[in-house]
Amino acid sequence: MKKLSLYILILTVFLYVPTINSATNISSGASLYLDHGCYSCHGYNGAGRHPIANNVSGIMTSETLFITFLRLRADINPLKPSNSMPNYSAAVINDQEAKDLYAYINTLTDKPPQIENIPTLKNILENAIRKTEK
Amino acid sequence: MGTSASAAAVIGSGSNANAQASVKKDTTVSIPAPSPSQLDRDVGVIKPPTSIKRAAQRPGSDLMVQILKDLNIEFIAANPASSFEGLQESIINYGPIPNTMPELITALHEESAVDMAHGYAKCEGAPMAVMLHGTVGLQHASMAIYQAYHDKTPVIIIVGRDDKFFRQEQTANDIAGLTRAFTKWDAQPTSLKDTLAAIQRAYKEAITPPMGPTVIVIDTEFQKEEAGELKIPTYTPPIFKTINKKQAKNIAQNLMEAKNPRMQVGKLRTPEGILNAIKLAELSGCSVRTAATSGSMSFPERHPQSGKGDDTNYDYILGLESDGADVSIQGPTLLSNVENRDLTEIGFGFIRDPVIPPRRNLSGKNDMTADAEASLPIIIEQFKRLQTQEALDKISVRILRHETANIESYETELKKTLEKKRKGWDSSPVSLARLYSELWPLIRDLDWCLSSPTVFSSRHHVGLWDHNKPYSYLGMHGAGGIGYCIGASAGAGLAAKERNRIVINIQCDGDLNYTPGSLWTAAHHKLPLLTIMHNNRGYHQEVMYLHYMAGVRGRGSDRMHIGTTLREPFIDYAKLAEAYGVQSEGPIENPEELTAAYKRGIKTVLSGEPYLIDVITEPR
Repeated sequence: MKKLSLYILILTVFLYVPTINSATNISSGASLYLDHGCYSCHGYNGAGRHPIANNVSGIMTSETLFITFLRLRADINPLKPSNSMPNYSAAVINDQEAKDLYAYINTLTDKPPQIENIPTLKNILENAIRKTEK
Repeated sequence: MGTSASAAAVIGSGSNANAQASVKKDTTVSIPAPSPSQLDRDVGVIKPPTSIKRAAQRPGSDLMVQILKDLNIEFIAANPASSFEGLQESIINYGPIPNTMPELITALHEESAVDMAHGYAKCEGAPMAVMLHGTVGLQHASMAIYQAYHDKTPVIIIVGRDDKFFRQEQTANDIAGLTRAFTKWDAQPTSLKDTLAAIQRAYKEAITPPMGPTVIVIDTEFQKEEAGELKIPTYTPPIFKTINKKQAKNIAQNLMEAKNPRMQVGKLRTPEGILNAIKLAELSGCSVRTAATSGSMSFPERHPQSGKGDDTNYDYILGLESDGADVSIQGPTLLSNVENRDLTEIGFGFIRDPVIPPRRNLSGKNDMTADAEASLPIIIEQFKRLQTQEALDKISVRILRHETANIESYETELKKTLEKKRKGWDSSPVSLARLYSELWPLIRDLDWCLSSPTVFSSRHHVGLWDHNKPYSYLGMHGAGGIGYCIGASAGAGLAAKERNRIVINIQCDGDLNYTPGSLWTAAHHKLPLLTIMHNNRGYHQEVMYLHYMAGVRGRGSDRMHIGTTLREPFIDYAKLAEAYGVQSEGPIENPEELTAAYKRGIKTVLSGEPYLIDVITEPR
């Protein structure tokens, strides 16, 4: 079933042609990101529980894939409450808005220091190792 | 309302600053602060004056308090009420050191009182008591009682009943019937003598598996009655159901003969049970799976044998209050208590026969319904009988192998965990990973208790903090009812107060607004409680649910904040805490400010005062 869904997704990506092809507006994308609650899972800066900054997510591979992904999310009534990624139809976020959103998300970066450059985390690791060596 | 306060109301907001200052000053004068001697008596330093002629020479309520003392009940929480005025007077005035064992704890809401008892019992494995006022007090408390029942937590609930002399709405023929379906046991004694026996029985029932809240409805007359020569009944401790000697011998043999035995330890009853679980683990050299990151009273997480061990191909698994093992010793479930409790057949979920079949088969090959904690000494005794030098040598090698493997695994897993915590490290609002991470180095050498459920803050303590004490993490609410956190944390603070322990409460903002009055209780009773707000300014779970639903229906997802968020205006939790007398700071949005704030908070808490830090966080 999962394989079938994947085939459909790939096929749709190739067949899907966004109807609007104008320049993107990053500040509009930023507003959409907050208004439509993307922050609630992906974080205010794209580094939330389901990170989307730094292009770590596969759906950010291309604008077309991103828009297709928004449209293809589940649209059947859930029997139990779900907190997975919602569906965004064109009536809710149109193609131009989706492009703006994509452009904005592409600007999100999360460049945390390495553990050795974060004193707290370095301390936690070193302390744990010291304890286990005793 | 005093004259000055009335004047303030008349003057209103249009008055000038001087007038307001003047009114404020007068209002303060009209409400006198307690005198030094009153404050001393509040903590039992000074005895009350003794009158020569009294209405009752030996009030019935004195005997009730003596029973609570004999049962080592440390605290009794209450919001004051007429139906237990006799008992309350005895608590604060009776005995060589009044207002101790139990000490009266002022709760600003009955739900808070029971939440406190819930949190306390999870820390100590022993109940504290609460007093409630008739039908209204019990209904206020009912949600917290429901949660304690689901959490199998002992609480002694005394309900005052004034059937003849006060408001009829606040009494009933069978007050305990209001909560019968979700309490372990109840009684409404008809004499002082029976009342004394009922208090003892309530204690025994509460601490016997399945543990839970018990209710005694006590008429005001019995509290005020002259007891004369009436004696307190002799208390007999409960007998816990154990496995028999043959079963214990069989378990001991299997642990001894198995090549790679394992113990799975769930939630035991008391710290003593944990000590015996450690003893059996060390005697047998088995590896141990703990539930210490899920709740209280389990095996120490960083014990050298705690972990997967050096071989995950276990050939014998003993479950102690834990499912899925070859042999599982588990106390009776709540279902065993249904008979004669749910008389109106409400059928509360998990108290009725299951509607949803279990997701996996939880039964072991040889399940035994008995109290694991009480059974442990019998198994240990049988195991010791089987010990030979050869067995001891084999076991010491096994322990060394497990220790080495567990240390290696711990270091590997910790590195992975820390790598995940880096994500969003410098972000503002503050990442929850950082909120937990920055705290750990500051508390790891202290005796600490994490009192709040952490599912909504993504459980970042797991894998990062070491859960080695019975009370390291107190687990979930019981029934998922919101509003539990601050009350249960205050209860954990009561347990911590005289034990050189501090309590950490990662407090969800939505939850705090149900019963914030517990902040005042923490300030008044000087509880070592550090509250750190996980302030995402909303009911985030519901934001996500609603979001998904809107997506399914395709009608817009930009209005999900309606009814789910706490904005316009934002709530200032530092000011809220300050109003209740709790030192506080925030809101903090810059993660670089966290450590300094934590240090200030910990310093204050170590000095015996609560502290609140408002942190604006990522939603999850």
